[in-house]
Amino acid sequence: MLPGMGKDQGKVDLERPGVRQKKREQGQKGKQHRAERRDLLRKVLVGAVAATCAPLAFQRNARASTPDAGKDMARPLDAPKGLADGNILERMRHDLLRALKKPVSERKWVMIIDQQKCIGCCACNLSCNTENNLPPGVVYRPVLRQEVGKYPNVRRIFTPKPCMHCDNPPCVPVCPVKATWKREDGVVVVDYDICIGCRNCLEACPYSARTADFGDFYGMGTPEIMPYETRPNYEYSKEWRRKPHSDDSPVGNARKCQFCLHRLREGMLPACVTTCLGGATYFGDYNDKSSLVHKLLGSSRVRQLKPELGTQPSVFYLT
Amino acid sequence: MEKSSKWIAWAIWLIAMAWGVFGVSQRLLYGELQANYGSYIPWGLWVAGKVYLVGLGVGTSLFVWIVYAFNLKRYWPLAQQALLVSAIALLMGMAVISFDLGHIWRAFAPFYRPQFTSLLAWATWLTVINLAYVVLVLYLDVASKMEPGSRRIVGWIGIFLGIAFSGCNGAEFAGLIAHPYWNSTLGPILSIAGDFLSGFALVLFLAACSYKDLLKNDAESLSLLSRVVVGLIVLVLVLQWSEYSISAWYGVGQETGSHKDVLFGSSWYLFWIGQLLIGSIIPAVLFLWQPARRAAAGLGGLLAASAYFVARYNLVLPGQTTPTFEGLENAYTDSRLTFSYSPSSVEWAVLVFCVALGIGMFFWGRRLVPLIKTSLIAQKGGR
Repeated sequence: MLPGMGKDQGKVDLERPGVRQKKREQGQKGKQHRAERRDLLRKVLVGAVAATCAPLAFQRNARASTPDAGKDMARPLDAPKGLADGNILERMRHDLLRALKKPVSERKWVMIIDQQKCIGCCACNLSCNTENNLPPGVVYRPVLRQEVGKYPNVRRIFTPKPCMHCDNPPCVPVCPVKATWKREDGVVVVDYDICIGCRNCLEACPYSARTADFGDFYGMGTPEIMPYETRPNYEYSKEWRRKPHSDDSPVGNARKCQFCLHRLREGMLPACVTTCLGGATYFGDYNDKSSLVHKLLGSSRVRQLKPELGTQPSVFYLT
Repeated sequence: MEKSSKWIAWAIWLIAMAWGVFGVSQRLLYGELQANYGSYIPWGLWVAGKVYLVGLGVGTSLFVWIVYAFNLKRYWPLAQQALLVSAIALLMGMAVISFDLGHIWRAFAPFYRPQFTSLLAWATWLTVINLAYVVLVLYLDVASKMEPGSRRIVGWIGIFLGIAFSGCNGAEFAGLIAHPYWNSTLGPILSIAGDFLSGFALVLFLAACSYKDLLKNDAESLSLLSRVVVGLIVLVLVLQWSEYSISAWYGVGQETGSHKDVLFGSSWYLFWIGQLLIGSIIPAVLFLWQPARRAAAGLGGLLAASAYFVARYNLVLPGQTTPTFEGLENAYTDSRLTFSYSPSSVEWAVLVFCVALGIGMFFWGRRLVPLIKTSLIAQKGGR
């Protein structure tokens, strides 16, 4: 036994929680113990009050330290109310607004997904579908669910898989009509008005990140296609309306995640980032050394999917 | 052809056309809704059909170019008809693939928005260049505007164009790193060998059907062509063997699953019965067993040429059935996001339409291409 240790210290507690609780209750019967409890409650109360007030104090300090922020964040780039500074989302939004002040060529958008934090809720997938009003069969961010180990030592790993926006994208050079390319800020885009729908890019992508829009509607085969299916989406900051039995773009095109460029333009984070329940998705400008993503990419946990292919994805995983 | 046989042929053709027109109308009215391919298997029957038909077309023209380049006068009588078939097969292939595009009316975009890094774009351009060249030479040949001495040059240019296309068509698949089954350096070579095989076999079939006096006067020509086709069958099988056996030996590697799928998967019969038995063994036996019989040559040629479609299908489909990630199929559920595929009736109907249209064009076009009697060739001093 190490010096200073009590009689029972160092022993492994093998008792069931219920038995332990009972013994604890018996030991707390005395007056002295009641006084200790009151003291403890007082401490907890003081702690709670301090925790409530702290963000307000931080907020004041944060605003004072970034005097230009208010000026730069004039609407619609104003910070949404209800998000306290210190929040990761708010931090990333500040990073985003700072990046938007720079020329496009000086930005490098990257996404980081923390697999330790991802709970596999698919909120990102759902918000992506809603944001882009995706039809059946078109998905930009499926969440892969993998089970490792054998019972009782099992674990589930979730891998949200958006477009990797590779620095060396295999999908770009194969397009016969230059309908897809990599922007200066690293986002791989598709021009719906040029794409001929040959689906060669789908075949070329080793991440299966592209899907084709075959013109399906959820309401097909029912008496009526609901209006929510025909409402437009605003990908690439343009209004796109899908009509049943029409091959007007984006029907007939290859479609993919574009990091919600239309939202970025308005100073908003991609839909999947803002809706991630576990706070597992990070987004920002890698060229900004003070950005959150730049700091996270210094972690030893950083991985890429299929790095051996040399595609150099801009989506990273913290494993 | 007897009158009753003619009527039966007409009836079959009309039924095929009617079904095909229905399929094409469905495709034009409802887009790709009734096609069964999806986003994880984006290329289906129409792509396999296109690869087969354009390969057949270029393979047939390669026969003519070799005949011209090496001055093989004994096969000159076959040239014009082979060129006609080549042009029609190339047109059929282009028609099939146009239906596969999400935007049919943008099919000509590779010509006014060229992407020089795209092998698909190169394959498209080379298809059109080959077609234009075949039509030009056919015109010059039929109009007797081609000097006998210039055939050699015409032949060599044609060989260059044909092999460039065939290699590019194979490289189009082989260059896609996402699919280990396709991503093989043997791809372009196998494509060239396959185009030669299907094209030469079709020429053999045409020769046996069209030139009744060819055998009488020059049985050796038909027999020689049969032996060449046997050699090509063996070459294709050896290339496939080298491709499959390497991965099968250790049983590891990403392409192993696709190879097993071809050989022992749910569609095992396509390879073993379709390609190997019907497309390779039976024709080879017919050619070697009855080398002097026109019927054997014709049947063997037809089987080898048509069954090669199975090889093309087995090139296109199994390459896509292995998920790029474990659990991808279950990550998001939709009928278009699966790794299984069987063509829909509309897909078959559109393919049948294109083939039936091509056959119709052939019989109509034959009137424009008068057959040259072999006796005339003999009089001209052909060897």
